[in-house]
This record gives sequence, structure tokens and C-alpha cells, in this order.
Amino acid sequence: MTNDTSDTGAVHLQSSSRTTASAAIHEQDELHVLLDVTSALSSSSDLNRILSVILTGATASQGLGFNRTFLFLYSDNTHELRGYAAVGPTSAEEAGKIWSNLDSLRLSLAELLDSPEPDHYLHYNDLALRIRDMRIDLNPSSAIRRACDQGTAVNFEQCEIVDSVTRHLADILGTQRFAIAPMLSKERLTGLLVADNLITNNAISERASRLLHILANHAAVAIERARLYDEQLARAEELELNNTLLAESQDQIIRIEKMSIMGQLISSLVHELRNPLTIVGGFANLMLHSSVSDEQKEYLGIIAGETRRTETVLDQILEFCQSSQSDGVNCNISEVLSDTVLSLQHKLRDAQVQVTSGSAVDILPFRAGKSQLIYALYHICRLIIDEAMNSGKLELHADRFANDAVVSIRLTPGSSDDADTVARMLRQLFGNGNSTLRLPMLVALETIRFYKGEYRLVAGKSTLPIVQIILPLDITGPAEATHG
Amino acid sequence: MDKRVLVIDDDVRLGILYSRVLAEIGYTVDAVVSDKDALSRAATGKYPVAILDIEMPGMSGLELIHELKRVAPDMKVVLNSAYSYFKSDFQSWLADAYVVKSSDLEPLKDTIVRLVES
Repeated sequence: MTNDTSDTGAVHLQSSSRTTASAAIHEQDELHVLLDVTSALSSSSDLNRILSVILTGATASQGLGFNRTFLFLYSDNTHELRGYAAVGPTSAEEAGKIWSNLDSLRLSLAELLDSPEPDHYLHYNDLALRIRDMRIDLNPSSAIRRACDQGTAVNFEQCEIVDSVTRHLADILGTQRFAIAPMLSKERLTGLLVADNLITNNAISERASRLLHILANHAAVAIERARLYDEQLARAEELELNNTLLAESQDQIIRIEKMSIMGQLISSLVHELRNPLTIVGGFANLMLHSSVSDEQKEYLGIIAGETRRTETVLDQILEFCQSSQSDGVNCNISEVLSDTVLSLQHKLRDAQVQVTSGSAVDILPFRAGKSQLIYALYHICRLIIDEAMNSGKLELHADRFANDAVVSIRLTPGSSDDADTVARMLRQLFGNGNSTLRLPMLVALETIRFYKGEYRLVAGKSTLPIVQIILPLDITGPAEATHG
Repeated sequence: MDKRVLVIDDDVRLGILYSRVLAEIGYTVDAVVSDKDALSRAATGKYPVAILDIEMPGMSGLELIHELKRVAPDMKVVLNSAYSYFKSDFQSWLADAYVVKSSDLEPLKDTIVRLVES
């Protein structure tokens, strides 16, 4: 100030100009702070990043300069504010270390806001943990509730705390001198910012309180935007998942329908072949009974035999075709096992092999025609018995592992069987690249692959391996697996 | 006993085969290819048994059997098909026997003898 006593008015004018200039500089600084913070807020839709910007902007010396800032989020359901995050030192010693470190970096506010705290620091530092379980009930009347209702900031530096709710907050903070600013977006409460200068014990100025209020409003908009973004992202992911499931279902249905149509076509073809075969073989047999030379008998015998062999193949194809005509409903693998055993028992009435089934789970839903699966399991078991066992036991067992059903075929050879021989036969039947399998077995294994299942041999407790068939469960269906 | 068999099948050659095969065991076969001829022949009452194919043009065997039983109630009917699954079709239960078509004709011969001579 110029000490020009000859012109008091000029002195006052100069003083006033300096005050105005100083105020303008302050205002400019405030605008820069707000600009940096709002720019940082608008650059992200990630909630944790946004919270970091808010709390850093409030506590940085280049920003609002509070010692500590706490963020509470509002819950519509319970009408309360819940402690969520905080930034700031817990002691003067810690403050000294943090602030001197920050000073040494000489970062601008924009640079500081651009290097956010790690997510876990915001929520799990000592300060955050102090308020994490805190709830501010907005039902009873309180200064905090009035501030939230009216959308006004309050500086408790300048007014007394008279209600219990606000007093409780003060107790948690460890000071009665703090400022609060509700975060409102489109008149909807998002949360509350609370800031204090407990470490330095500096008074909270009106300017700081005002800036906190402005920050809170920008923060509310940013948080709301982040929430909407997360909701949209979740919806988009859900839609994508549904689309994928739908596409897979459609694909499956088309494949099943194709298989059904293919089954019908093959069935018609078989029918067309049946009559000519009957006629050729029938006449060959007829001629065998007439007076023909031995040589002709030999030839006719071959014709009749080959005709019979071809008819057997047609029978097997026809049998599969009938099971391929999907009944259009899902099946329960546990029931399939029971039905398979019934079919085997019927066919093996005179055999010395005992066949049983069991399931660890009552319902194992599978998307396939029941008869197709029974066909596959029946022929697999039938071939194992025909090729590998004279007596003993064959057990079918189903269990659930994650989203798969695992059907295990366990063998217990009888006294007339050699376990090593049985094991060797199993490896031959289920070994990779086995091209000599009979048609029903080929069809059965192909059926399993068609429904995205797989089969394998695994080591059993005894010397015999266990045949395992893994089938993906229809987890989208109505049936829930329970343990029986 | 009249050992005559009415064969109803749209395949003429099958009729010839059955005729030769059943002749070996003393049966005379009359073969027809249409449902209309089948009904008119059956109505004469000369046939104790008929062999009836299921898959035929016009009326299918399962439909025709109803009409055959109406015009010739005493005539036994053997359904003869390439498919075995018609056995579970209740319409086939009207038949007295079901024999799947095969080059091995012994089951068919045994069935005819059983139905006619029992």
C-alpha cells in the first residue's frame, strides 16, 4: 500500500483496487481448480477413478486443501448414508511424510488427478476403515438431513452441533470442526462429502466450504454417470450372454431337427432297400432247396448269407433312425440309465452278466431325445458284454461334476473271465482311432459326440479301467439337480 | 381245409417269391397289388389267411386291415413290413400276427401254418 497521505481518497482507491485484484486472482485460482477437477471427472466412467478424483481434489494442496475428506454414499432402500471411501493422514507424523513427498513431486493439480490412488487404498486405508461400517440415518431430523434435503453445504466451523446424528459423526471424525456438502444430481441425493482440517487445525473458510459444495455437485453427476454406465454394461453383457445362449439353442434345435429329418430320410431309404433284399435273398434260399449243382448251391449260399448280413445292417440303421426322431423334450440321465438297464436285462435274460444302475443325483437334465441316449448307452454296454465279458457285473452310475453329468460304466468280471483280457478289450473298444468298431458302436459314440459329449477310459480302483461318458447338462432347463 | 393265401403287396416280385415259397408247403397264393382288389378277393371268403404289407399306395395296411376284417371277419391277417416299430401302433393290434420282412422266410411260413392249421 502506498503511503500517500496527501490524498486519502487515492490511498483508499489503490487499496480497494488491490483487494479487487486479489479477489480476481482468487477467483481465477478457484476456476482453475474446478476446471481441473471437472475435466478429470468427465474423463472416466469408472466409479473408483471418479471417487479418487473427488477425494484427491478435495485434499490436494493445489485443490481445495482439506486435510481429510470422507465420502458417504446414499442408500435409497434404507434411507441412510454409508461410509464408502476416505483420503487423508491419520496423524501429524503421517501427514508430514505424505505432504512432503507430494511437495517434492511438484505436480500440478491436473497431473495429480491423473495419477489416481489404487482402488484398494481408497477403501482400505486406516481412515476409510474408520467410516466403512458407519451409517448416518437420515430418518430422524438432523443438521445432516436438512443439508441433504435442501441441497446446502454446512460449515460446522461456524455453527454448533445440536443433534445426536451429527454429534455421532463428529465423534467418529474426532473433531467438531468439519464441513459437509451433499452430492445431488437432478435433485436426487447420491451421497455426502465430509471434509476437515484435523491435522493442521486450520479454520475451514467460507471459500473452502463453497468449493466443497461445487465439487460435491459435480461429483454427484459423475457418480450417477458411472452408475448408469455400469448398469448399461451389465445389461449389455447379459444381452450378449442371452444372445449366445439363444444362438446355441437355435443351433442345437436345427441340428436335432436335421438329425430327425435325416433319420426319416434314412428310414425311407431302408424301407426301399428292404423289399429287394427280401426278394433276392428269398429266391436264393428257394433255389437252395431245389435241385442245383453243388457249385450252384455254394454260390446261392453266399448270396443268401450276404443278403442276410445286409439286412442286419439295415436293422441297425433303422433302429438308430427310430431313436433319431426326436421327441422334442429333454431327458433325465438318471432315468435313461434305468431304462437302459431294463433293455439290457431283457436282451440278456440268459446271459451270466448282471446289469445294474445307480445315480448320485435324482435329476440330471440333458438336451437330447431320450431314446437316442438309451440307444447309445445300450449298444455301448451290449458290445462291452459281447466282446469282453462272459459273466460278472456291469454297473452304470451317474453323477454330477460342475455342469456335466458323468456316466461311469464299471465292470466286475466273473470267475470265468480274465481281468487282463477284459482290460485289453476295453482299450481296444475305446482306444483312439479304432476303425474296426461295429456299426452300432460307431453310431453310439457318434451320438455322444453329436451332443458335445465325450468318452474316455480312466483308471479304476481295481486293475480294470472305468468307461466314462461325459455329457453337458442342460442347466438352462427347469429341472434342478438334487441329491438322492 | 382250404390252403389258400391272399398276398397283398404293391411289389409284384414279392408276390411271386411268396407264391413259390408257400407252394413248397402246399399253399396256393393269390397276389394282389391294390387295396380295391384285396377287398374284392377277401369278400369271396375263400382265404383263411392274408399277408398284408403296411406301406402301400392308397390305403395303408393299417387302414386296410379294418376293412378286411369287416368284409372277411374269419380271415386271419398277417402284417408284413420292413419296419418293426409298427408293432407298437395300436392299429396293428387288429392283426393276428406281425412278421418283419426278411430273406429268411421260415418265420413267415411257420406263422401261416400256425394260423391256418391251428
